[in-house]
Amino acid sequence: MTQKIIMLVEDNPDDEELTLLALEKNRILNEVVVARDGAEALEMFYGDGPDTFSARGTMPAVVLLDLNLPKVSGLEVLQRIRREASTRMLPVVILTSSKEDKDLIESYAHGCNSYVRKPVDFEAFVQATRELGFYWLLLNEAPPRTP
Amino acid sequence: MKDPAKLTDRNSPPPVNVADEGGDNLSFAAFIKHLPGVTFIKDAAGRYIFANSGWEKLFGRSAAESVGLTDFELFPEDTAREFTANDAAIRKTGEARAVYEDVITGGERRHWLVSKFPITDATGKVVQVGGVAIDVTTSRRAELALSKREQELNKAHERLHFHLFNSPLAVVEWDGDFRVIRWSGRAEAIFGWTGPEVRGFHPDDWAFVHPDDRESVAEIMRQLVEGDVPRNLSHTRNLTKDGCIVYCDWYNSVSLGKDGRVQSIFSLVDDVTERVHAQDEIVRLNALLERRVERRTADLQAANAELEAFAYAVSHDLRAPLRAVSGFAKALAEHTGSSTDETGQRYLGLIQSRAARMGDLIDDLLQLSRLTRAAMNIEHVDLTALAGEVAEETAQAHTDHAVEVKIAPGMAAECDLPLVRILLQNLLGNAWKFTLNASNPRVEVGVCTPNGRETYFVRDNGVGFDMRYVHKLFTAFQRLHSQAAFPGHGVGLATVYRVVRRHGGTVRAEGATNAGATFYFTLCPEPETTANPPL
Repeated sequence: MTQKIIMLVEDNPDDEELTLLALEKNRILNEVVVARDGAEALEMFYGDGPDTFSARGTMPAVVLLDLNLPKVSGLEVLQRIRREASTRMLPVVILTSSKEDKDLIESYAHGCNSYVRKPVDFEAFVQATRELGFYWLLLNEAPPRTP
Repeated sequence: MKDPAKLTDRNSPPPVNVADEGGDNLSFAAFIKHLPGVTFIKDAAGRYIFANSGWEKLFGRSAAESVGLTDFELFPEDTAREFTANDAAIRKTGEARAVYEDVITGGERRHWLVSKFPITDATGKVVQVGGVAIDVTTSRRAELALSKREQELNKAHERLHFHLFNSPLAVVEWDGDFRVIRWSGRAEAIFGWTGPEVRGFHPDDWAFVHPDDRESVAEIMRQLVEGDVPRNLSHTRNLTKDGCIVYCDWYNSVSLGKDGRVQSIFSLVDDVTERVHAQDEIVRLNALLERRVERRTADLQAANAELEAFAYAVSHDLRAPLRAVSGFAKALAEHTGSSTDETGQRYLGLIQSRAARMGDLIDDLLQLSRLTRAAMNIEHVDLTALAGEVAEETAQAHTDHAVEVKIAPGMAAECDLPLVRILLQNLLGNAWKFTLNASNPRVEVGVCTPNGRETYFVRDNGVGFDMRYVHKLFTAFQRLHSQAAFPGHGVGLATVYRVVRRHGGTVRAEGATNAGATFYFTLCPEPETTANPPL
């Protein structure tokens, strides 16, 4: 059984490092693929380069998607994921600083599977990361590979 | 001559006996005596020397009795005076003349036309005055009545003329061919043309109707002349002699002759130029106001959008570096481990805890800004139930000390549920927080009605506050207690204030140091505004 991949779409290098640190502290040692803006994320799904998921013949077990991204926003990425047949069932967790109602509503309207607000306190953040990893990598049954 | 036949009858009796008349004059005397009128002769001294049978009949005394007497001996003084005055005029001028003399007979004043003439002696001197009188009462009365009516008619006409021509409305009268026959002073004042300048003119004959209104005026005139309507009203732009436009309301009516033909058209003209200008001004100002409102609304929407963007940026961008500060401090603490001394570890811990507090502060501020922006949804809210829920939540969040809660039954209000929930969360949270050191912590939520207005209150028996600083309570970031004693951000009561203000209500606090605090608030506008601390 191939190891489950986590995809992190995050433009802030601090947050990227902290997320990786939190995963490490929780001994979640799965591979983490990082896209640093929305365009890069879309390229990984639908491009034809060597680093794309299709080239690797696999899909991430969960996408941790920030909303506020340069170039293509997180919401736009989510919309595209839900529109394309190859990614329609991909579990997507919105991981963001915002808890504006507008963001919550739009994210759910466009079909996110979960919405988590990044806590400021690192201890809380580590705990949130642990629960996310536990849930999406162990507890949750991923959808079958799209034929 | 009413009845010539009767007259003939009267002439038929045998010759009569007339005093002092000789037989040779018999027929003449009879003729005189039986004249249908009244005849008499008076001498130079005004004494009657002859009176005929008509006279006898009229006054009820015989001629013989009367001869030798004057008018003053026969009639009332004013009558006698009138008669003698007329006689005197005859004597003086020596000419005959007819006068009207009034005599009261049988209790009735009657009018007589009296022909008085002089009788002269051989030298031409007037020695006697003769008279022949005919009763003209009936015709005289008719004449007087007619004259009186004529006078009344004239007066009425004058009055009508006066009122019409002094009316604030101009009066213009047209003949059947729509030519001016009457043009009042007010018409002159409105239009500038005088009556003589326009009399006989048809409206098309001079620059009187605004070119754009000629067609409609022609139609109005046609309706009147052709008998479609007996009267009509037209709103017309007219031109003055100076070429200025005046807005006029023309009230026109037609007067028809017995033959059904138009005799004249009567127009009352109201100069409504000022009113039209005022209406135009109102329309202009309304449009201006509308444009201003639109612009302000657009400005406001832009400002709101900007605020929203700002809040979003705060929520997103301000928290990210904080999270990094907190996270890397923690990472540093773990990384250096035992090589960092106790002081260093404490510093790293402080960095984390202050970063966390700043995160809370940002959240509170965001909530405060959301309170202002969020749309209100007023509904019927069971405040008793809501306060119960919030108290329970608060108790669960503050397990460090138990508080006795008393909530009045039956409280309800028309308000926005989410906002009032936040209000109660803040007030009850404060009550819990500030009763930490109370010996017997107690919180009460209730309602009172000062001045007939439902006023809700949250009362605690906690640490209270000094009333000298009450004005600072509701201002954001103002705190009356040290962070060490009671941690907080100073946003809670500012939030309460905003919730109350958004409902149009008021909030105030009462308290004393170490004697508890009570917060009173209303949730609907009141007619008079009480002083509220500015936020």
